[in-house]
Amino acid sequence: MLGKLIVLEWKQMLRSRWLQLVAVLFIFVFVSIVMIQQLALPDIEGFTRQTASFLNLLLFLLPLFTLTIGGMSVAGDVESGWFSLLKTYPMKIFQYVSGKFVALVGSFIFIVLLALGVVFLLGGLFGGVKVPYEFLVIALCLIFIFSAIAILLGTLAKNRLHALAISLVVWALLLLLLSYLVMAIGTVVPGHVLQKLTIAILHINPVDWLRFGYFLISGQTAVLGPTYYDLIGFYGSVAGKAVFIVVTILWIVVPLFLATIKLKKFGVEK
Amino acid sequence: MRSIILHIAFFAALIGFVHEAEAGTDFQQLIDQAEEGDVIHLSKGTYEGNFIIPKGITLIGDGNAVFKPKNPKEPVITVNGANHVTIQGIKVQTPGTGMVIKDSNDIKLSNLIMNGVFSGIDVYRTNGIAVEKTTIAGNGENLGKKGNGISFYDSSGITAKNNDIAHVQDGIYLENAKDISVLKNKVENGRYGTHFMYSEDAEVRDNVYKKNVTGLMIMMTENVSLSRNDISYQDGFNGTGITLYEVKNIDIQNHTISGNRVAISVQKSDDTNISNNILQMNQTAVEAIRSGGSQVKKNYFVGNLVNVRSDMNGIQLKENYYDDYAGIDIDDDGIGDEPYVALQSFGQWMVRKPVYQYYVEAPSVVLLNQIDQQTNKTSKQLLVDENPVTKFETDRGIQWKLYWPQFILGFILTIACIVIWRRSVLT
Repeated sequence: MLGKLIVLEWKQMLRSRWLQLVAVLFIFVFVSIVMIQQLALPDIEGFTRQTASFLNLLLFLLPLFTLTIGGMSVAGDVESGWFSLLKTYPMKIFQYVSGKFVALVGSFIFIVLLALGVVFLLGGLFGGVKVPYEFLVIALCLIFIFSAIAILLGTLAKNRLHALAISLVVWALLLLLLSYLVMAIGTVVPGHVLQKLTIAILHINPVDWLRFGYFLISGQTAVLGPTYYDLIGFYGSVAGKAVFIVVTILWIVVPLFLATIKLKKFGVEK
Repeated sequence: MRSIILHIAFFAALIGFVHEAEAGTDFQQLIDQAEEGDVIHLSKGTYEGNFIIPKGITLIGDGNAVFKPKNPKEPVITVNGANHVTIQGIKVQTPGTGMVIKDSNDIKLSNLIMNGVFSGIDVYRTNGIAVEKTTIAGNGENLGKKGNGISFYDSSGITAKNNDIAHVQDGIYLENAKDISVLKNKVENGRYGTHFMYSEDAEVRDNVYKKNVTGLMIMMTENVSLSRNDISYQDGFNGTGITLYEVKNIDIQNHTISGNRVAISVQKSDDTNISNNILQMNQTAVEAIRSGGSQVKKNYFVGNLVNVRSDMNGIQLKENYYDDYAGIDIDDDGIGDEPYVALQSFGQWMVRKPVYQYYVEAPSVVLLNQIDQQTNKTSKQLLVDENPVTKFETDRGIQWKLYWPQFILGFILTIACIVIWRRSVLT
């Protein structure tokens, strides 16, 4: 049953005009940035404007697309009565949630692979382009985490429009507003307080978490500055790496679990 | 006949006698017996001891004479109070200091190899000292337990040329030194590539500094010309390509400075000229702290996260090229029609509160910088270049060059995705 649901959801996702438009937009921006940056700028290792642009492209677009599409997809199921119909089948709520999650993750991995294909195709004509593996790892983590969050947001929404609104608010909050809030607080509190606040926010904001993850994976933690030496030292240790993996998994599992609870215990709001 | 003998005697006195030294012999005794100007050729083998050279002699090895200390806490070779000493072509193996030169004149050291040393060559109160073509590799300890590659204290007439130094604290350290040439050296994986303290009149040219904490550290020093050095990947927590602190009359010209955390940091220095450099792909290209009188002119800023940042004193910007300049050049004279404003709120914040560095080039900061570029167009107080250059002569053109493996991989991936998509949509 789960397998059939995944295939069905996967096909519905790919048929969605919204997803198709998003795919075209993502591929266009992805290819443009990679090609322009790699062909125009010198080939320098480390955290450069080139790698920063690449990372920001992923941090801006993947959460936005997964949150809106995933959230609206779940809310749409409820709004259209599809979810009520599915409940008449011998299927558990968790199976519905996980089926939705796998289909959403699969669709976005598909888009990223297509974008990579186009980049390699064009890059091959200009002597080759580099796409460091760290970006692929972060892209995958972004897709997994934000797909899970998207499904949770979808269950909280009353309808598709509400889901879109919630998704955009959460996206803006995680991408921009939390950082601005911390920076603003930093202007009136001492540096050591700001440092602790930043570290706390880092663990409760998945965007910051994965950005930090990129620096850890690529070995460029020095970019964050000497103020975070202890934090970086801990996450560079075996225990730190284990904590990083556990927290990342929690960011996937907890939203899915909460979404299941929401659908199971509180039903859906109409 | 008498005349010939007199001539031979004269030249022998002039150039000294030539001795052959063999490993295992009492080398110190050979030194003691040698006269001023004598030449000692060193055969292959190990010479063990802590040797002292108090007179002007020449030691020549072919690279196979290995010197080891009897007491590792003392230098292997000490030149003390000697004039005209030349040492070349030997290896020094010690966990301590390789050589010490003290109170001497006209010393030439070349083609030396020192591996695993605490420090390579320490020079004190010496006039006329040249160290050339020497390789020094420090021990495997952390930076706090390393000495310097080559150190010069209270000396003048210094030349360090074509040396290869790695894994030491400071590659070349100069304290209270004068008349200095640091040319064509390569220093990697140390604390400071070349470190000036309380020195004056120096030329630093054609050196390579890579993967140090700081490439060139110049403190409380006057009259230094830096040119054509290749300074890259000083990208650690406190990494800086060039740091100037309380200096006077320093020229930094014709460099390529790439991939550093900060390319050039100017601190408490009002008399610095930074011109004709390419500053590319650094996290911050130029950082100025209490250095409002210094000048940054005709440089190329390409691909840096932050081009220029400063405290409230700013720094003078003139006729530089900035790749993020958004103005236009209608009359095509190569100068932008409106000023370039390098003021980025975030850049200033990082200078004032380093803890903000966590957010460097974060999505929120990128957006903030874009807003800054729009809203600060009217701000003409700080970090403004009235005549930004709009043409970058070394821009790379796009060139067709087929790279088959990637092209084929891209082709397969793209076609496969399109086919899967179509099948999913149509069935």
